[in-house]
Amino acid sequence: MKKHLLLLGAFLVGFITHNIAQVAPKENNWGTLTGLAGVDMQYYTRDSIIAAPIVPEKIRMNSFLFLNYRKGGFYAGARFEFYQPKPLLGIDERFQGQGVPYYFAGYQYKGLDITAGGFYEQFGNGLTLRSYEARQLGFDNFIQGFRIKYNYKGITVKGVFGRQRDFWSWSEGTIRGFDGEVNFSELIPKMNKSIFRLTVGGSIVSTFRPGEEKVIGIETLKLPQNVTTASGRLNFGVENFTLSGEFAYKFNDPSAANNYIYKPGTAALVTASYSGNNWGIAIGAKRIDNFDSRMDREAVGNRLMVNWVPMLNKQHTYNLAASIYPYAVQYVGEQGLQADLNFTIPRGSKLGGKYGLDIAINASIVYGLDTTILPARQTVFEGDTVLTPDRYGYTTSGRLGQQYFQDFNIEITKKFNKKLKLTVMYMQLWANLKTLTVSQLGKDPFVHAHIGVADFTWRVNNNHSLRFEVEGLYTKQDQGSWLMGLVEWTFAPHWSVSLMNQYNVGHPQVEKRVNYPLGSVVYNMGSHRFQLSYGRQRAGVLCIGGVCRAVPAANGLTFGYIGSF
Amino acid sequence: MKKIFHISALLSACLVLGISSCDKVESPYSTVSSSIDTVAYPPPSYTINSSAPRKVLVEDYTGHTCGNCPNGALILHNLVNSNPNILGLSVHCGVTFASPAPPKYPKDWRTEVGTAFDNEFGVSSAGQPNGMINRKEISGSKIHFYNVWANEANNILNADPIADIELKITAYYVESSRKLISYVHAGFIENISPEVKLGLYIVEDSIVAPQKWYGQSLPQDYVEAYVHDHMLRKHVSPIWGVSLGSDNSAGTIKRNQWSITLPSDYNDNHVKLLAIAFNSNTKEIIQVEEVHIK
Repeated sequence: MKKHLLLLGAFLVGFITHNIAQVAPKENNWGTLTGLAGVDMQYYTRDSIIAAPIVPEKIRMNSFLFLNYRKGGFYAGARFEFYQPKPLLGIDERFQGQGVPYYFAGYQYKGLDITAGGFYEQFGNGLTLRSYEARQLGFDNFIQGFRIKYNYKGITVKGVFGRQRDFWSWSEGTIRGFDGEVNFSELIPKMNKSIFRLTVGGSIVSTFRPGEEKVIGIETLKLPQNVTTASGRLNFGVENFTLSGEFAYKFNDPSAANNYIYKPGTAALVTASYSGNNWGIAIGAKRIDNFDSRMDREAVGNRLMVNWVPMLNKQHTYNLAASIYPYAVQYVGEQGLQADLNFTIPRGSKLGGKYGLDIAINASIVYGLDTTILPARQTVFEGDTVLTPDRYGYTTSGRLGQQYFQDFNIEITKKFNKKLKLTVMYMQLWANLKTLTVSQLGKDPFVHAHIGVADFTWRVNNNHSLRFEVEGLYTKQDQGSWLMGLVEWTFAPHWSVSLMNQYNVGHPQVEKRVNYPLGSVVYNMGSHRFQLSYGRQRAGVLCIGGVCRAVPAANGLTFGYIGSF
Repeated sequence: MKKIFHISALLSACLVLGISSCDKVESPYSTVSSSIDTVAYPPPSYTINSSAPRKVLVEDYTGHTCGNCPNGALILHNLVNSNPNILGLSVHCGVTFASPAPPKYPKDWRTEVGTAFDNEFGVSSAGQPNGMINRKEISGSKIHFYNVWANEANNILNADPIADIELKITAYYVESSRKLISYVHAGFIENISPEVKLGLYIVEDSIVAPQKWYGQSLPQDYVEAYVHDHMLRKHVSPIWGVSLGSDNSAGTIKRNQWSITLPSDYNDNHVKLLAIAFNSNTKEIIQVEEVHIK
């Protein structure tokens, strides 16, 4: 134990001195070099009370350094990644390794932009294609290949061709995609001056995945090697009103994600928003049917995802609201609604006081599709009458299927004076854990919970501020109720110290009513941030944009660094 | 404007390219295919022999701790040896006499198929030894003690010596892999309107294992090296067979095939395939056939 801690300490000192010595970027004849580095390191200690997995390697690290060079129109970059001896708990272990998977070079000339190597790209809302990185999730699906973008007077054309990152190798399949968008406000000068705005776009993504047949039991499936997804989108605005929508269609794409069915996929997304003087409203609806696209038919989990279905739920940031029962978007089928209302009670009014009062109300509800699985087909096989599934899969009605999720929350922020600010939030949540398997922690299929948060900031003086956060989650199901408290003391410009505790006050098993204390020290220096924490991490779920991963319980010392130059 | 036209043309070309690079699979999306290599193991040619002899199945529902059962087995043994058109099947079943009783009777000779047959006809609960002749209801019962087996079997054969259905089993057995490929032809000699089902089972002779046998003046009536014949081992087809359809007219031929790997504890020198064609409703056996696999 001592030896490990010494090693960790030596590393930290070396790391900090090294990073502080970095030079500031300079613009000169040699071009510009910028960089971003991150380190997450954890020393794991045994903790059977919270059922923390035993980590034989004791210390694990995720780290990266991204360098980006630019001179004139030319640019190039690369990212070194290091996950050794294994990635941090919760991150897919297939990331274990080190190397430079991401590198690229390209140039821009007038409206033209050409990239060779790795790149991130999104078409429209992402229904047909989205390659992105979410480091905390352990998600990275950049494309390695070739990309051409061209922009001329509001017309943007993009073409991509490549393979996708699959941990330390590349997908066997190839992706080809085209996207076109016309922004009429830019294209037509007259329109630019009018109250109307219009953007129309469309994309086509075709994946090639080798393999003509797949044998499942006695069945031999004829596979489509080339699968095309197409979408059209529109964004229309009149003054403060905006309406946008996208519809996407996918041809037959049997895969492990959809149980090898041939039903075409559809995805529809509509949002409308209006912003007034002191208020804004946004309403969104979506219907997703069999829309899980992958670069490999066999891929499951978060591996080799080609597209992304936006979540129509609030992404909460307060601890108990964010990481116990978050919603994971169901790519195989879901339909949902969300309404978001923000308004400020103006300054000077009775409620508004000197600084106004901000209120944000959000409600979302998600249901499954009402599906009818087609009857199995009877086939005589070797003299026997066997039943095989109807590979079209199912039919849907316009009705609602079973409920998956529901969230109503209201957040009020009040600044009393220059020194005191209070945010309170109430949230009512209903989650179907049978569907949201990633968040299946206990035995109860449904959870109904009330969550309350109070977040109070007191700026003591110019250098010191204190923040208190109290949260409570009340439920009779699953692991029962939780309490959480946080005290954070910031003394500018460098230091911040915090102490947090979560307590599973209502766990049905008394011996599992456990405290999860966590203490942290943060040191900020310009664009560099160092953090050292010690304590327990509660098992939970981390979701970013509706894509989730499980967070295992852990106990130990964590070091984090993020910095750029 | 020209530029816009060029871009639009490029865009359209991309769209056409994108759409056309999609493979649309039409229904049926999958095929159910035989796992039998029909080139290496071709189905034999078959024509109906309209004077094929009727064969009858005598079943003996037995157990290794059933001390009276060997007397029934002996009768079956003699019956089968005396007439090639009488086939035998020993079904080890029931809790009382067929359960393993270590250390003397450690093995469990019961099978899933045997238990299913026993549950259907209720033989072991009627006491063992008991049996059936073609699963035919005779004098109000299908279950009969061994003293009537010979008589009733011969009655059936004498009533109509020509079969209503001819069964022909062709077996390919690969010793190295113990793969057993079998084709069963059913040729309808008579018109048969009820639904007919066909079952195929593995039967093993000459299994040497302990058996209780009363009246042999043996200590505890224990025969350590008793020879069990016609023992039902396994179903090759589904337990209750596969349908050959109903309203089959004379001249109809139905072929079925199965492929299995012979379990390693079966002595392939003594393994037979037993095919049974039976009335789907009454379960009465219409015809039976067997072949040695080697």
